[in-house]
Amino acid sequence: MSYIYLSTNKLEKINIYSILTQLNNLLRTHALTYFYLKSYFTKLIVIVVLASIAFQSLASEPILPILKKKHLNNKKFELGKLLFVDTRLSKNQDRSCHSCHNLALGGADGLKKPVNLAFNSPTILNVSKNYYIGWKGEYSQLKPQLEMILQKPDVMGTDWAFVIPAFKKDQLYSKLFSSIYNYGISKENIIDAILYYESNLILPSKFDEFLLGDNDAISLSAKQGYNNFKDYGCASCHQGANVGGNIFQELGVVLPYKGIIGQYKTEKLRVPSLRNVAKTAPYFSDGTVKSLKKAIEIMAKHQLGQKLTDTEIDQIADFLKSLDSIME
Amino acid sequence: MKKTKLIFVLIILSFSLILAIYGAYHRYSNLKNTMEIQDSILQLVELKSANAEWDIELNRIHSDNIPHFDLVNSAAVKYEKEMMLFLNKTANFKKSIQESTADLVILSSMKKQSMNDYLSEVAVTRNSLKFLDTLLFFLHSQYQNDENILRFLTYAQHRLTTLIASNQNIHLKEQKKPAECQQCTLEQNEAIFKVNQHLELLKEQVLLSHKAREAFYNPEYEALSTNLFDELSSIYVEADMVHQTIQTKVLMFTAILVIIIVILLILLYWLYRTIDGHRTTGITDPLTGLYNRKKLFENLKNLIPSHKKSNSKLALLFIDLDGFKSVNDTHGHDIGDKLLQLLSERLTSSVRKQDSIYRIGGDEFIILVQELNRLEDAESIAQSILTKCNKPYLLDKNNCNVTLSIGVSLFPDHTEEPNKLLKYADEAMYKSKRNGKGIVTTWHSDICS
Repeated sequence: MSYIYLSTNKLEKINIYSILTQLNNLLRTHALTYFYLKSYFTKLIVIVVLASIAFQSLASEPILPILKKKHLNNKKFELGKLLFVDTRLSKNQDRSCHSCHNLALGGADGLKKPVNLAFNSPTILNVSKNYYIGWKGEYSQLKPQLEMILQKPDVMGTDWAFVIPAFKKDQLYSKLFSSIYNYGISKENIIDAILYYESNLILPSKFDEFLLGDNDAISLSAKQGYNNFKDYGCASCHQGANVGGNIFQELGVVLPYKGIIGQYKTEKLRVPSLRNVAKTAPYFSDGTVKSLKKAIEIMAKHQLGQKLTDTEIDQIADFLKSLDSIME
Repeated sequence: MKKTKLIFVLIILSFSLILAIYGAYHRYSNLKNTMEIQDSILQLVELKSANAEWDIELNRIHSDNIPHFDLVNSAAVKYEKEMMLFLNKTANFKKSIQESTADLVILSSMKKQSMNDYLSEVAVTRNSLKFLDTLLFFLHSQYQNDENILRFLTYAQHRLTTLIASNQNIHLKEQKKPAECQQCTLEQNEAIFKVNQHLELLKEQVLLSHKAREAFYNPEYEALSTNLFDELSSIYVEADMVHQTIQTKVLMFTAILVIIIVILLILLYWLYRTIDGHRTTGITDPLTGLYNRKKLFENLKNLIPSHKKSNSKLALLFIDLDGFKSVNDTHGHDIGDKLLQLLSERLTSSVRKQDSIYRIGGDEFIILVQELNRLEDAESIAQSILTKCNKPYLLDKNNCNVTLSIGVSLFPDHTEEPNKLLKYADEAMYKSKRNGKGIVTTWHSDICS
């Protein structure tokens, strides 16, 4: 799985040194065997096998690096971006996708909960790397979830009978749609364009560069925080490419959690992704905790049964900050 | 020209026939249905292999120290995709299969639910194991010299090992629990209590994790998918049988049709040949193969209006052999016939393709020279015929000398009536005979005087 990354230029630039050092170490241990091989072909095979072993060590980290998609259909992406901020898609034309998933606020809205909704809005960035979407994790694909969001009157409640004629009058839209799609503006094509934008919103962080071999990408304290993150067991749930988003867990595994006001109802929810977590305060499904350090403390206490020192909390917070996407 | 047209029509006919048969075969054969069933069977195989991959990933979670949930999740997503494809492909099948697939969907969603439970339990279990390990290590270093508590810690360490083993489905022998510590301080008792609490928690977790793990190995699923495979195979066999019989019928029908058409075509060709043969014998001369008098008048009737229309000239050359009678008398009729054949060959080779030659009497020939502009052209053609045909003829080692006398009449300069045209040419020919034989004479109004 990990040697897919070989093909990317970025990796070649950053990681070639570390790969070579790892290879060198491996070769030194197997030097006799290596020089015993006569044909260049077998030597080549040995090098490939050793390289794959070197990459396996990369894959054994609980967090996998993500990479920006290379070959994007820019026109379609820009169209999706326009639709993403278009308020005409909502029932009263007062909100867009961007209202709750503000990219400047890390893909969330900074509110406790959006109006009429039960949960704090999660980040839209890197959403396609999640295996379950939304706090309840009812959807494992973006398309049905997006259709649900657009259809639900509490959220968007799109009136297609109004939207399609309105877009057809819009010159920019009709030009863009007809250059991308065969049949111009239709419900399917609008959903497809938003989906394309949403699923390609993949923005790597400094930490991904660190994982790919750039040792100086994150600070020493963040590295220490990453070790704490693994040692205390945060990485048991917050792991994978999106640092979460792939399993379900309830808040209060070791010590039942009652919430700040004592109103928290314990239920099994999707483990949220920790990418961009430093920007997406307030925290937890009910959005009651405002500071990141408090959230780390609560998680350690109730999920792991541990009491962390202030330095440890600071280090972990530094690590979580290094997970912020690099915006352009 | 006629032949190529005929071939063209035949090719088009045979193509349309093939197309019609092929279309009928597609419309009425069971091929599409059979292919659909085959596709669904292949998709079921894909589904099974995706399920196996999913199981492998689930098993790997148990053996990995740091399990990657992404892997098992992507296997589940792949399974879901294959399931969707399978549902699409079996959407039109009969009811019993629909019911089986619906059951399969329910079972796989149950499996996914139990997988989710299992993954959360695994995360907690791994965490507790690690936590307890660190706690015990910490307590060991803190109470290095306290024998009472060390005894308990050794017991706890062993219990942890047992639990780790039981998490991997290995059952170790339980150790006897030490008696409660009498001289321990309050702080020490608290530590012991904490360790005990976590051990209990871990035990529960391991049990839960096992329970969740057992949930997704459902024998019902295997039975159902095997059953579905059998059912699909049986309807495939049925559909294929229907298809085979239709195919044989269509093939038989096509073969019979082709045979009938071939026989019909042969008959038609034979008929055409007979009719054509009869027609040619009616208008040609059997000895030389040239046209006869009947064809001459027919052609004249056609040519005169067409020349009138195109405003060009038509010349009629009347040819008579000089001294043919003496050849017949001295060498016999066989040689005379051969002479006529040789002469007709020379005539044919000396005129243009569009000009036609007729034999109207024993030694009288007529040539119609079409599309002329001037009279001189007709005369020069006649002259060239003369020079070619006046050469001696070598027949069975006999050297025969025959010359031609040619009379020329021209349409429309001389007359516009076919009969008169022939008559004028005849007159001109007699004139050249009288003037010394072997020459060309063109008709003019005072030729008789």
